[in-house]
Amino acid sequence: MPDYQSYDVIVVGAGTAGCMIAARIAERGINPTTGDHLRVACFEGGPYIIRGQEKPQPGYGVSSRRQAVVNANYLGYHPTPWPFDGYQNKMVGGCGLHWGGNAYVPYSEDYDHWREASGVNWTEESFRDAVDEVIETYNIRPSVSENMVLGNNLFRDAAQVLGYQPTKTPMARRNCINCGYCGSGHLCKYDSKGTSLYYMHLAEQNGVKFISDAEVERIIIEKQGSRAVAEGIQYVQYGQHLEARAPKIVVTCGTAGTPVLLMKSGYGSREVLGDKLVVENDNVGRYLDGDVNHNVEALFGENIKEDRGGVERHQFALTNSQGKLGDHNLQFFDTNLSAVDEAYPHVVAMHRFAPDLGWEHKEYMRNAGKRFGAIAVRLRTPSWETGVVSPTGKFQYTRRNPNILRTLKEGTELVVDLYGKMDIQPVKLDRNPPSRYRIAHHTSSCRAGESAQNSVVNSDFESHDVDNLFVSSAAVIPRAPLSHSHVPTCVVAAYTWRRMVENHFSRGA
Amino acid sequence: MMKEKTIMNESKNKQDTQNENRLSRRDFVKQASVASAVYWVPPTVGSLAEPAIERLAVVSAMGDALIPSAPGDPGYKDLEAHGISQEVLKGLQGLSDDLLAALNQSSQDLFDGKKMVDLDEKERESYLKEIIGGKSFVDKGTLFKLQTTYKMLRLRILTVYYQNFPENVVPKDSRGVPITKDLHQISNPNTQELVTGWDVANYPGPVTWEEEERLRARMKNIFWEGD
Repeated sequence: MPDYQSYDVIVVGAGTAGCMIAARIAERGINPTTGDHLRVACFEGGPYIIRGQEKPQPGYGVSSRRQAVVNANYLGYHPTPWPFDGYQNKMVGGCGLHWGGNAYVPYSEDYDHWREASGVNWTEESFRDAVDEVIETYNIRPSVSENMVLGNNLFRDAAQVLGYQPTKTPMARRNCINCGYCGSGHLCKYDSKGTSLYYMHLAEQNGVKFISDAEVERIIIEKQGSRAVAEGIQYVQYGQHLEARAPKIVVTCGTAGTPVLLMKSGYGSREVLGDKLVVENDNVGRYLDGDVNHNVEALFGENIKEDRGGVERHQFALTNSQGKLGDHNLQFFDTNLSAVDEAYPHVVAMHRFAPDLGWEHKEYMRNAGKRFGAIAVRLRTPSWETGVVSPTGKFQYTRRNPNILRTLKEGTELVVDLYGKMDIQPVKLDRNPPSRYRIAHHTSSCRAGESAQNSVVNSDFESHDVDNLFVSSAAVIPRAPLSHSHVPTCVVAAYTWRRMVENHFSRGA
Repeated sequence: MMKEKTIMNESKNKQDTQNENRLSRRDFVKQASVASAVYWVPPTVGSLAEPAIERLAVVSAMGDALIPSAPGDPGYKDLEAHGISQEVLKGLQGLSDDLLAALNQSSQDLFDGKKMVDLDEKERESYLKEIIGGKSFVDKGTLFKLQTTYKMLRLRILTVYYQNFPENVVPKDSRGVPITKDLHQISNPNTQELVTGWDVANYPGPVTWEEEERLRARMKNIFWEGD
């Protein structure tokens, strides 16, 4: 008996992409020779909180999930930052990306940008089925007027006065009750946002084995002649060092975790890995991309939000002279003019708009949560401004690029004009543009592309350098999408399983 | 030494934040959270069980100044019976007795020899505003210490109070999963029995089961009718 477990497919990482790919491969894929169902295992470093409990209930969620994410106290449910930069919900069905309700499928321009960036063959047409799946699964629908609050309407009307045409933001609606507590990187108590509940359930129905609390240490990569081949994984579970093997390994560990795992496996650049190098590819951890956000904050003299709700959004974007979205494309959202999710009293109490102390502070506190807001200025970083992911998962990039700061300043000035056109004027307004920034919605650290010279995997998510190794997560997106990155990550995952089933898990594949 | 250094750095960061007006609200949330975490030090039996009288009195006086009370309008001091100052002090073990004593005693030059804990409400507010403004203090080193102490106390007190102490705790099992009282996992610990920070801020907290059912029915009518 071998001293390892054996499967047909190992998926590393049970987040959004991992759950979806594991579930669909198990459901739709077969052994191409025997026609048998596949034995799929999904390894996850975090816990599996619904194990042994009741099944998910559509429209209700999972009660134990509700228990895990209840919002009694901000510190108590803030996602774990360990071990990498950014927000992590490290659990089976977790989500490394902040995902409120904004749910943008890729724009037409995104496919153009992706092909230009790395030579992938992805097109809007070839992704159509994947997009349709994600829209249906997450019930993505535009914001609705019935749920708009005063803050939304102030933004919309002022934008129109300035000649812009704000549109209603698409939102993920599965199970959503418009409670307003989405955002900030935490999971939704109702499994509406940032969740893989549907795919977890599908995976279990199709026999996927979730192996939780299992920190994968490395992919086992063996040299066979001139080629390298992925043969399994080594992992640590409850203090035990274990091994599992499969003829196909899929890494779905997100923008930070994916390059870290590959580098720990000896797959990366010679410069970084030195004598630990097994397979050389300079693009592992390179091309870190994302967007830059700046919230222009305001305090109003009357309530602009309700006690509940506020998941609806408007947005408008500036286009280039050809009417297209692209580099230095500024987008504007009324996110924080409607959402109550981040107006936690202890945060409001310490805000710079707050009076120092005494009765003045207490009076401010009575209403500030519903009077405080911000308009988000969002800038997709130019392609030449990408960063890197270090072997320890740190995001490294400049935070003071003058061109980016200049564009954010332009955006800030536009928002100040926007506030000036509102029917209700803020009593306090932060007019200062940022002096530094950070990238959010990270992508592209192990991007897909046409060759090993510019990417890590091909357009079908197969490693250029290691046979039987696949990668799919936000990491493979060739450059940051024009929208927020979560739904594009879902769409790419939905495209991944299709390509994998067609190429590897169909009769005669 | 290490703790003081950490706190001083954090204080400087806070100052930078306020001066530059640079961070997003989400950054601010993170920073406030981190700050709270930095200040929190695992309790040691001796120091927490019986905080020195002056430490407790200074914290109590600061709490009352930051969140005052009046008949029919409870504030910080109304939670003293529930141990709020002790809770605040748990997160201030890096703040030395000397700094707290300096804050307490520096009012004597400005208010006829009265320590901060002996000032009335208006005097105390006036004193703290002198510290914030800084004009009454010739010695810049002293002023810096007073301002730093004030900011640390303000952050900690406002955080504890507006995080809804003492109705801020949901019991959790060994895995960290909250233990809730009913089948719907409604875990809002806020009650109607005590006026706490959430009540002062008119913050409703998580939805009740009744609200959840109402909101769900409403959303079904809007989005899923006919599905």
